[in-house]
Amino acid sequence: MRRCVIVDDNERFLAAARSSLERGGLEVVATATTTTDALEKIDALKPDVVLVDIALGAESGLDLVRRIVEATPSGPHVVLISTHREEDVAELVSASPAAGFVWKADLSARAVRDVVAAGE
Amino acid sequence: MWWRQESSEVSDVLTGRPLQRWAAGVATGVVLVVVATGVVWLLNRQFTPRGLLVVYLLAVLPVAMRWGAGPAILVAALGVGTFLVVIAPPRTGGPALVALGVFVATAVIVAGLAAGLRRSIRESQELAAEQSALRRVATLVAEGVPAPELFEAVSREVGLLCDADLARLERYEPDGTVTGVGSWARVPARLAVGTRIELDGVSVAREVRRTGGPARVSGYAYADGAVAAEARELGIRSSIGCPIIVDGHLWGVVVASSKSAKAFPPGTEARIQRFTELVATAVTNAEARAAVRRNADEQAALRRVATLAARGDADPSPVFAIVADQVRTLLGADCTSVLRFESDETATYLAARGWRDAERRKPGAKWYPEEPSVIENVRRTGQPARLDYSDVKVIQELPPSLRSEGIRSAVASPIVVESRLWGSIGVGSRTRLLPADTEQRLIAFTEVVATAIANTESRTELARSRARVIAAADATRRRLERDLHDGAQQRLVSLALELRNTQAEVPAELPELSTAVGRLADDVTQVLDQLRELSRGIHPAILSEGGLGPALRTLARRSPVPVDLTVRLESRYRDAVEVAAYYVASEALTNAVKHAEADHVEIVVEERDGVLHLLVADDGGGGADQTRGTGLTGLYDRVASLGGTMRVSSPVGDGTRIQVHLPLQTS
Repeated sequence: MRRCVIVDDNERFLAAARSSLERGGLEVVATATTTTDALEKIDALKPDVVLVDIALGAESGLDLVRRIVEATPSGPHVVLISTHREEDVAELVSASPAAGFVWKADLSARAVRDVVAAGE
Repeated sequence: MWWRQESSEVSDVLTGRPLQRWAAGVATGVVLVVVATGVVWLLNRQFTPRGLLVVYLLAVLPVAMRWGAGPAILVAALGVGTFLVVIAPPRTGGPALVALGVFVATAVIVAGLAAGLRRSIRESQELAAEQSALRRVATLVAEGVPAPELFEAVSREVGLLCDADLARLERYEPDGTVTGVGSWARVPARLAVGTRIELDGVSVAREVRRTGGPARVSGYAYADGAVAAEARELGIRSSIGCPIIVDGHLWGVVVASSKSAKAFPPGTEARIQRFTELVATAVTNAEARAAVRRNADEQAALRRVATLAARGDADPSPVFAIVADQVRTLLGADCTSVLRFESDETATYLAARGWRDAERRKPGAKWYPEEPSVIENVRRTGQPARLDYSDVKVIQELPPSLRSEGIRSAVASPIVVESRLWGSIGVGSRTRLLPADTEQRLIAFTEVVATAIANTESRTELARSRARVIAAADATRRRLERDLHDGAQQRLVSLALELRNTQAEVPAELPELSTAVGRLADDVTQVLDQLRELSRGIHPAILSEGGLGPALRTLARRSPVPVDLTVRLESRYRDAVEVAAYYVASEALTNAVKHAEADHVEIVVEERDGVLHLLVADDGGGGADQTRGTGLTGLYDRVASLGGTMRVSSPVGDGTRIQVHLPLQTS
């Protein structure tokens, strides 16, 4: 599991997340800020894992997760990320087909791998 | 015409009565004189003939008693003549003539006395008859029999007592007509009661109204007007009437009519007057009773309407429905409508009862008020209106909406809400003219309806403005939460991540720097946690992200006491509803833990019949005092502003149950 796409609408976080993940050996092949953008890039690049922010500005990250899974059931692992703590959004995460959740401040390649491993 | 004769063979019992009396008296006298002469002839052998003259008194006396002094004196003269011719022809003057003179004088005196006796007997019989008639009527008055029955009885008693052929009781109407309310006829005749009569020609009723006292009318032969024409048709030749004065006002008239040319004897007015006093008492009683009962009925009806209106339901149509029902029953109308006037000059039916064409008048149906109609009148003038369709012979003269309805009389009053003409309530009758007080009684209802509408409108307006205030506050909180999230939190999260990255970049030979950067990252994380608490207090993000179900589950999971949560929701709801339900549940849970020391809490939230039902029940100490700020107080407002209800039951020692109903459609 090496290739990763991050979907988030905050440029500063995208930059910090990219350097954190790549240092841990997870190549960020693309970043996206909207649902449409994300679906296109995922379809084109076929990443191993997609990180999706629950709050995507006016759009819903949860909807995007459902659409990714619907589009390619055997597709990438999806991990939800948020500035909210896990206990605040656990209900949303467990109700979604995402593999798991990582708090944005704790984001690292290792945290993502752990969540995906736990979800399998 | 309000009375109709069914039999035209009316025996003329009154004419020629004095002649009859004389003929009968004299005929009987002749027979008695013949008998007396026979007796005298038999006794003549033993007694002196002159002493036998007294026997003729036996013939005079019965005639005087039965037929009066006149026939009796004739019989006395006849007796003397017969005596002189048959028994004792006058031989000498002197004593015989004296005896004859004494007899004649005695006969005259006896006849006079007997006739006087007869008169006083008759008068006392009449007085007794009048007294018992009055007693019968007084008994009916005291028993409070229904007015029609009493009026019928009074007509009968007056008719019989005055030796009339016809008697009737009429009530004066404000429009100048009279209504027959009771009648009696000596010969079988069907007299319609309840019809109005115009007083356009000669009539006792008109005279009584003009003078305010008793009146007589005789000789209808050349008189004008419907009443006179009818009198001619029936052979009425004289009438007498007395006013019925109720509370100082002319209420009605009692009229007795006769086919005899001979006027009613003097004193007939006084006799009738004694009955009119009883009628006046009865009318006063009946009106007072009716007014009391009507008032009680109306008050009860108005109370029902007011109670319903005071609930201030978002949908006031039950108020209009009950008003239509009550007005129809209480005012004795056949049909009623409650309408709202629209700005485009149409009217909208809110409720209608008793119409043949109900489809045209179902709630919400539009109608362009046609002329002539009472509703159109009210819309144009803003005043109560009345129309009498009973003279309409051509159906095309009626507005199309009324052609199949058979309405005879219609009355409508305006509904004025805060000095603007809002609508109208109309009533119609198929059988009679609506009573003169209908407008007034209708106004009592329109006023209550107007108050109810004003209440409902201001309540609705209040609820709306409260809802707007709460919604605005909610929006502000949500925006604050979002600003925090998108601004400070987002930046702090990135900062924390950057610090971790920086920490990882620090060369291994600078462990202090690495530790310092790590501490900075920890600090930022702690600040983030504090910010998170703050943000959650402002507005739970999960509510906007995930809706009520996930938000309540989060609440339940974080609760220090076990929560049994049941969620049966179909979809997402508007923010105000979700926020209200969430806050109630959150506040109730806080109270259960903090104040009630509950061990277990049950939360049920479900959508049923277009309503969101929320129940929060705990097994704590109960006794939640809603007047002390438990935090629930503000939630009442929130729930009420959404047109919902919130009930809190918290008996001491038996836990607290909070039930909230929130309508899901916006009104």
